[in-house]
Amino acid sequence: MNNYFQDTKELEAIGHEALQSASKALSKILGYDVRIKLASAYMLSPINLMEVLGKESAFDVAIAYSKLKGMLSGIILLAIPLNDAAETLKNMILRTLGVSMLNEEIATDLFKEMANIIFGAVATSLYNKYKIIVSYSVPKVVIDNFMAILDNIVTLYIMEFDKLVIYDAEIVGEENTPRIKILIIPEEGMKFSRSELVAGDFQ
Amino acid sequence: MTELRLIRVTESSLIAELRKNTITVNIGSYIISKNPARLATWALGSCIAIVLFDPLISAGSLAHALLPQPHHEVDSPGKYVTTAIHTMVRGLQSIGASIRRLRAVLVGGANILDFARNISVSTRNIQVAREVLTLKYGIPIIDEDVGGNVGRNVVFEIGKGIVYVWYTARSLFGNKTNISHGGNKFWSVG
Repeated sequence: MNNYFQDTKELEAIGHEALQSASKALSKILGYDVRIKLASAYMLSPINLMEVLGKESAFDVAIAYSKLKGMLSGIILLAIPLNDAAETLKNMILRTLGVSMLNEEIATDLFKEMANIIFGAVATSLYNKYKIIVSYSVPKVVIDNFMAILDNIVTLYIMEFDKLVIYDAEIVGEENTPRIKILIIPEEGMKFSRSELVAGDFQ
Repeated sequence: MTELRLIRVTESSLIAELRKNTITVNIGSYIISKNPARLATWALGSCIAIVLFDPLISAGSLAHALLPQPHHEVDSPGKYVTTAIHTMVRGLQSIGASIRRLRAVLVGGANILDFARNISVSTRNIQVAREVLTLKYGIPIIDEDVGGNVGRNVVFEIGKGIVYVWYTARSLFGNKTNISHGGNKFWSVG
């Protein structure tokens, strides 16, 4: 089964646009300016996903993910290296609520909220710029090894897709701030949007 | 004669020791060895690790299978539970193992991300592995650490017949059982 994005440049452009506004939203909640780094889209076989994305294997991450529905279906995923996640969230709560107390439950909720803001910014941007209507499920949080998470994603897609197109971006801030990874993996739903876009919406 | 057994590990120092001098079994592949090798497979999510061991000749095999069975042509036998087990059994026999002496351990089949399709794949991986091992080949499953929603690492020390298993991280604040790389070198792509 083919995925829609034969030309990954198209996804790159759309993804970049969406993440520009996500970066602005993130800058506000983190309290420092962040920018997009290393954003690219590429096509690969699902089984190669771990090889490409998990070269520095065996590290732990906090991820928040949502299912995308509408004209763009698939997964959107936000990941922070676990070593940095707690500190980032502590800074966030200090900045937004003025308290430094943080337990597991609050931290998880905060991380979900952070994902919600970013995913919301992406969805809004996709509509404003390209008229792509997309909704996303309430973000869920998982703490695990990044490779194990990729392993799950591989099995999710390997039976249905020969190739996956992946938008892969990293958001960075000042020195010594965590690198935040954002992955968007569109499914076949984008095929539908292609016909819509060709009909005249795509600018 | 060394019997096959599974040990769950939580101690960081032991995990660090176990990570040394390992031969990695990559996703969708398997390794068969008669040597006292230390085979390892990392970060099992919904995939399943199948361990086979002949205690008499200390020969063993470890596979990291993704899917229960092939739907089309088999591109790589280690990719599927059914073909991996078949190839492992034949390979072990070719180096002197007896199917009557073979013992098995299963690890993995988790559902880390909450997607219905994932549950079906991980559950089927476990079911099919159990069925093929016990019903088709009559190989007893000595122990297993399967299911749940957490990633797992496996080291199989063939010389001792021991399968070590430890879980990957689960908490934002500690409770980590694996060794993470530090710093900001994480997201190297391509």
